[in-house]
Amino acid sequence: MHHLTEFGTKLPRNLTIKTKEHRILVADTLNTTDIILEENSSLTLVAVLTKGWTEKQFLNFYLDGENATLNFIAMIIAKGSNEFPFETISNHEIPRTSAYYKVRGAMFDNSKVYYKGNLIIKKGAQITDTHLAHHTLMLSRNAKVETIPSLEILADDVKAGHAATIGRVDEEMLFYFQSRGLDKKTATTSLTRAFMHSDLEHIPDADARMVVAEMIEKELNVQ
Amino acid sequence: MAVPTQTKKLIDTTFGTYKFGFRTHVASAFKSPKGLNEKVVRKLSERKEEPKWMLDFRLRALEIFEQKPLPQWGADLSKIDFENLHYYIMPPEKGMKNWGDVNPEIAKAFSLLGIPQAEKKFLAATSAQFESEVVYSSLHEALSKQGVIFDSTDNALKNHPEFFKEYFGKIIPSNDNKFAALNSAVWSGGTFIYVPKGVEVALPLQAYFRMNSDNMGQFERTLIIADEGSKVHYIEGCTAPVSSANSLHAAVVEIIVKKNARVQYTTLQDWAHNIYNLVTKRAYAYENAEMFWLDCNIGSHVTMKYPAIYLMGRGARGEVQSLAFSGKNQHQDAGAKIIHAAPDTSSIINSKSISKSGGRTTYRGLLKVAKGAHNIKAKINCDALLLDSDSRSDTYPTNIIEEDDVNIAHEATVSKIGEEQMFYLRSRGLSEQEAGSMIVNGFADPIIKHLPMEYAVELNRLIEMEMTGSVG
Repeated sequence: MHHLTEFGTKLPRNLTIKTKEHRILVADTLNTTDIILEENSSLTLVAVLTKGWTEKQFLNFYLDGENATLNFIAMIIAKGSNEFPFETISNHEIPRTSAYYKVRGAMFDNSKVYYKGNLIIKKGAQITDTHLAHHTLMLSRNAKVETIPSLEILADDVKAGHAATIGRVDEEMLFYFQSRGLDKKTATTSLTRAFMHSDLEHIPDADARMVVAEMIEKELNVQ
Repeated sequence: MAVPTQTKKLIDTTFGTYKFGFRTHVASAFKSPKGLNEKVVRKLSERKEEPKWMLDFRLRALEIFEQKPLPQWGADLSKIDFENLHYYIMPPEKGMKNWGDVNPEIAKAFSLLGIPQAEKKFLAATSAQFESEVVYSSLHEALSKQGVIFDSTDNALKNHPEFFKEYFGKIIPSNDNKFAALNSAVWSGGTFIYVPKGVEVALPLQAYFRMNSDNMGQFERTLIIADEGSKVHYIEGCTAPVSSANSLHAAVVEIIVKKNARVQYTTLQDWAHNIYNLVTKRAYAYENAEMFWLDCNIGSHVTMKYPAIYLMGRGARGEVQSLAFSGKNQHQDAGAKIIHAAPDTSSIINSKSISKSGGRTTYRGLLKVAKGAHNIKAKINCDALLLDSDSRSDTYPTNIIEEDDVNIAHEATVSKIGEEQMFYLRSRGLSEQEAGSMIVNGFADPIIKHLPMEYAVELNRLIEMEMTGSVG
């Protein structure tokens, strides 16, 4: 399967992934867009988000053709008083489409993330396979996260679910690192890196993975 | 085909039958004319011989109700005709302490519902509300000697006004939402419970609510105060005759769980399918206290109900276990709200829903960790079972976290009766009916097992017996 990888700063307002097309988009911001996936197509949209925005952005995905697959991967490194308000809506219109959402946020300082992810399986859209996960690592007492992972299911022969976790850096892991001579700050950065890297494996292209890892690294090393 | 036709048929018969649809023929002592206005509220308050502050409270609430629009989210409420309802219906008599003194027709109705029988067997107290008033209420002598108060809210307002000044309308103010305002304006009946310091009530207390007339509104008001170190388990059940005319049930339940106390509130909601059930329930749990809502929604046309727990004191614990069934023409929009407002608090929400024959279930929840509430543990689990392709399931959980020292996990799944599960059970010699029943029961079991045994047996029997009966 040949993947076409693009690195862009902004998503187009409208985008259609044509039949048998397989695209990877790496973006550094999210903006309102309508994206249609046709039959046998796939889109992996990776967003490495470090600069916030003020107005809520809406990303609508229409899975209009059989065997269309969407992978949405968002990695948020939220610092300062940056805010990240956005909503994703996946519309499964016909049978046999898939969508997987992986959203991860490392929350520093006074940052805020507002995320609503809605998975809509329309009537008759059987054999849909969809899942959404939103994991948040709280690194500051003043950060705030609001997450609404939603499901609207009107067909019965489907796999649909979501998961969300919110927590701090694991105390035991920190202790282990510190007992091996790392200072607390380095240990925390290492664990944050590991947390952010967890979804890298879902990017189906080595070059794109490399670019994304570098983007994360750059932001984690900023003091 | 997701579910074999046979299984579908048997599930239809299971949740499609309503056992409590009979009607009682009895003349009411008073019935307010249809519609809601200041006159209706004044008349109601006058009949109840209430203090002036309560009448003022009602009139203010009526204004709020009229000002507030219908909620723009959740279930469809546009078909409620507020002008076509009776807001107060008084049964022939009220407040009896013996079943023998209750109007025989009404006593017969409660007997058919098994209330006096249950009272004898395993309850510490029982109250029965018919239309707008509590017709019967009794408490074991041993408990009243210990200072436990269990009475209709109307009586308690007369006999224990001190509690009302401090707590009434404080947990759920009239302006909380449109239906809390409506209840505050025309509330009647409901249960008042006070459990003194250190008193543990071992057996459950039960209240049963019956609506008998068409086009009526039932607005009971419940206030429960569990003093420090006390324990109490309250069970409510509700049913109504089957009818095509819509009725409205809008209750308000306020609970105060003081330091080291525990309250369990169990609801078995089995209203007939013409009832709009729009209820506001909220508890405040203080230091090391525990609040447990067990919420089973099986009946009604539309339910909107999200039992809430505010964890106000260090070490408080909250739990909501809920089960919802939706069949044809039903929408259960239910869930839970938990607010962590103090450190070292923990909570669990576990919701299970089953939809069939075009029914719709919605889980709608809120988990909030407020600033300053550190060391928080919270777990939310929502599972939905869809039994056919006409039905619908929604999940809308909101999580708002303003602290870093938290450990929060949320998970939701939607599934159907698996062909493999069915095949496995069939290969072990179970009929399709038995297998289907076992799978549905197995799905609901984690919630049902929290019920007192007598109720769990009843709920299980409802599923199993009806399924067996539908063979052939």
